[in-house]
Amino acid sequence: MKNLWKELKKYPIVIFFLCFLVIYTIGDCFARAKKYDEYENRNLAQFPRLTWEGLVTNKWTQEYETYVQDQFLLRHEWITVKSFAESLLLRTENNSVIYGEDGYQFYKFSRLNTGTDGVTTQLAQNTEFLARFAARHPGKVNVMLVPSASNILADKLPAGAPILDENPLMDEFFAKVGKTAQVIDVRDAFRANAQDYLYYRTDHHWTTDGAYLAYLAAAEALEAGAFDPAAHTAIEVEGFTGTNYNKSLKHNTEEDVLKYYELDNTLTIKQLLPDGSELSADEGGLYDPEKLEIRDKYAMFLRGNNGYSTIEGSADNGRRILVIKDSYANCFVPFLTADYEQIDVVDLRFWKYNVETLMELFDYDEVLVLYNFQTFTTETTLFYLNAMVNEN
Amino acid sequence: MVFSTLLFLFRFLPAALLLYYIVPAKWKNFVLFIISLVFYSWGEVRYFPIMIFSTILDYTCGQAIERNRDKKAICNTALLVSVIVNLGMLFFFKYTDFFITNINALCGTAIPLLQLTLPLGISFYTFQTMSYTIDVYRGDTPAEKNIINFGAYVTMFPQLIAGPIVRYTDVAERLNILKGRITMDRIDEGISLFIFGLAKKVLIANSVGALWTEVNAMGLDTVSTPLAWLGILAFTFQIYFDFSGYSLMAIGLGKLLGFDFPDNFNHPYISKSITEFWRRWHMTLGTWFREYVYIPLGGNRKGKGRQIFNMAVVWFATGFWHGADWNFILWGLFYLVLLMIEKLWLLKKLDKLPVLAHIYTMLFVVIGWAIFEITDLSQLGCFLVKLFDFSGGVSAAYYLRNYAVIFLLAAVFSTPLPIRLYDKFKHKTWARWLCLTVLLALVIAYLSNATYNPFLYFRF
Repeated sequence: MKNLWKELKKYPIVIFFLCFLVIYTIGDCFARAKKYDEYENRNLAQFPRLTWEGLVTNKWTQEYETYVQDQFLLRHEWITVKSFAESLLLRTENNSVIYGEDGYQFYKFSRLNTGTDGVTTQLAQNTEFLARFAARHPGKVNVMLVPSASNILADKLPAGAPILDENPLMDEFFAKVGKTAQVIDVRDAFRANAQDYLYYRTDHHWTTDGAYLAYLAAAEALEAGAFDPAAHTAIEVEGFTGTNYNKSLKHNTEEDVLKYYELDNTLTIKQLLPDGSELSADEGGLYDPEKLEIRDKYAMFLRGNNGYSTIEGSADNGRRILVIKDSYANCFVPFLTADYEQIDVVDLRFWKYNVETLMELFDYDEVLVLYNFQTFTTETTLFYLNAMVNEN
Repeated sequence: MVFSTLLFLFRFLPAALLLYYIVPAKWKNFVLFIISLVFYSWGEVRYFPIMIFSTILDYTCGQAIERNRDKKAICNTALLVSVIVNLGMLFFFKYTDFFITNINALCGTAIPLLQLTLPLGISFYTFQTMSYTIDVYRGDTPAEKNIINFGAYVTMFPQLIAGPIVRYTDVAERLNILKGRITMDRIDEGISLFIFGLAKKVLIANSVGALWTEVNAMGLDTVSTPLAWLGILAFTFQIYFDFSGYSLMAIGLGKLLGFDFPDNFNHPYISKSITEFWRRWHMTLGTWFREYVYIPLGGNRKGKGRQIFNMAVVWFATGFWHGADWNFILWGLFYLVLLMIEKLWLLKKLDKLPVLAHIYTMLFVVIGWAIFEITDLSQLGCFLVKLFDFSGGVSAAYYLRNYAVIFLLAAVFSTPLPIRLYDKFKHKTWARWLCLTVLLALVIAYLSNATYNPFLYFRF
């Protein structure tokens, strides 16, 4: 034994690496498994239950590998090291996020998704769903498709960055949908004010200022625009780093400032049955201040993405609007409280029922369909707009 | 299981090494056999019986030859059985669908495809076990007496899946040393080699390979000529660092287990002729074809005509071995033509023009990789035209900027310069420690981030 030690001492590198391997492995095995990763916004794989069938079909071995990968000790720290190394190599992107000028990080959105029909694009399919929906409700439906940061701030992108040019596609979309609906194209307004803080640097959403600019652009179409920012207190929350940062983990990322206007309107998140009757109701404010304490601060608007919620507006005019939307609308909708008495908000990703039931129930004056271009081209739930409807 | 995963590094490897080191000397080959079977079965347990079958078959054939040296008929039969069964397995799993597809196309029949998944590493281990029986038959080596030792050779996990092609004679001596097989010098060297191999694969091959993947995803017909070149250059580096990295990891792991595997790559991209390139690229495969095909056919001893025929056989087989598709055959024949031209007159001229010779060599190697990589022949044709017609399309500007440093690193590490520098400093323990620690830390960082970690040589 003594000889072995004497021999080993001559090989410090062997001792170091073998010890590292064994000790790190033991540490990794005994570290507590995490349930959820805030950065990735997803549940992490847990230890898979070992069954004979799982073993002989190699299902278990695959699940176990995912589990080891997901739960690796100090995984987040290691990934941060990788991001730093990429920066040292002068890479202009990391994990599908492209680094632009002025601290802007853009999602590398390079091609359209194929639709659920497997033939056309999801964009073409969704355009069709929307046009059909609008045709059933003539004069009511307004459609706002919001350009992405990489479109409006294209001059901040590295030269030749492989990001899909969404402008011709948006033109085509507006032309098609414009036949049956009123379209709201905010691109000109955004380009004219591109020097303002319209988009978060580290998140894929627009800022509250961006949303307000769009609100002004939509004022005519929606017969709205009564919201007066000067009449409300604006609260600014610093230290926000959003989804693009969560992917890139860039070491010298400049943090964003999230702004919201203090409003005392009531928002009720409701679970409805297919016929529109109420299963449960959760009454509260427009915002969820607790979300300001976590990474995903944007989730404070409208208290996150909910299937169906209804807001009591401040206007005393009996007007009702239905907003069908993605998360871009969450910081936009508060402005509508000045113009409507009832604002209903439906997020089709979490609402799997017929929109027609709501249309009949509340006889809305206006419908606003509000999506960001990139989300709209990947969304697979727009068929709910026409589900369970006999169009003949 | 793949070496460049956290699962291998932080589960399999420490467990396997501990077990292998702790057990008494006479148990080591048995343990090696078992851990190798676990390694193999991890990804596809249903092909586990093939490994056992291969072991028993070739062991039996070897024994039959050894015990019946004077009975020629038995020796011949045993050899024939081994070669036919090994090649038969390879053909059945790898080439059946290729032949069915072509027969269907030719005769208008509709024979259904088998659509089998290729058993992991079958192209490598069938060649290894075949070499054993042939060597025993020729009397180059005595047959292995112990079936466990033989099983440990056939299944030995470092080289099982993607080479190098380790012949029985390469490891026979150490396989039978039980006490003192594992030496500190070997472990020391093994750690370095394994980390270097990992770094080649994870840090360079994966990074540069992402560019080729991206170029493919946007469609080869949409890219501009410069981007087409950049893309295929990225693939050129990817396949070298991927494959040579894997070989280096295998050699390093072999050392950790107390074995000395043959080298597989010797800086092929510094070659000044195609002939030299093939002496530096995948060397164990070249040796295999020379030893077991080219020389037995008569090599260059039976006249020019016969030599050309022999070369044609070797290069057709080399191409076809790399994949069951026409482009691989084309790729083999492409090299046959180049090698013949060099043999007949070009080689002597190249000697006088080293810079030009290097450019010429790399130009054809890169074009070769295009033929190798693009399976669809019409697409391949378009791509080769694109390389020379200076057409527009998606610009290379962004990619050049994004990948500039990676390309530079890949180019530098394709030369012997870094290893020479390392050799100068490696006697200083702290310098070596620092180098290895930084590389390993980076590898773990990239692996932690990895969703992109496909091995190129996995369809073999």
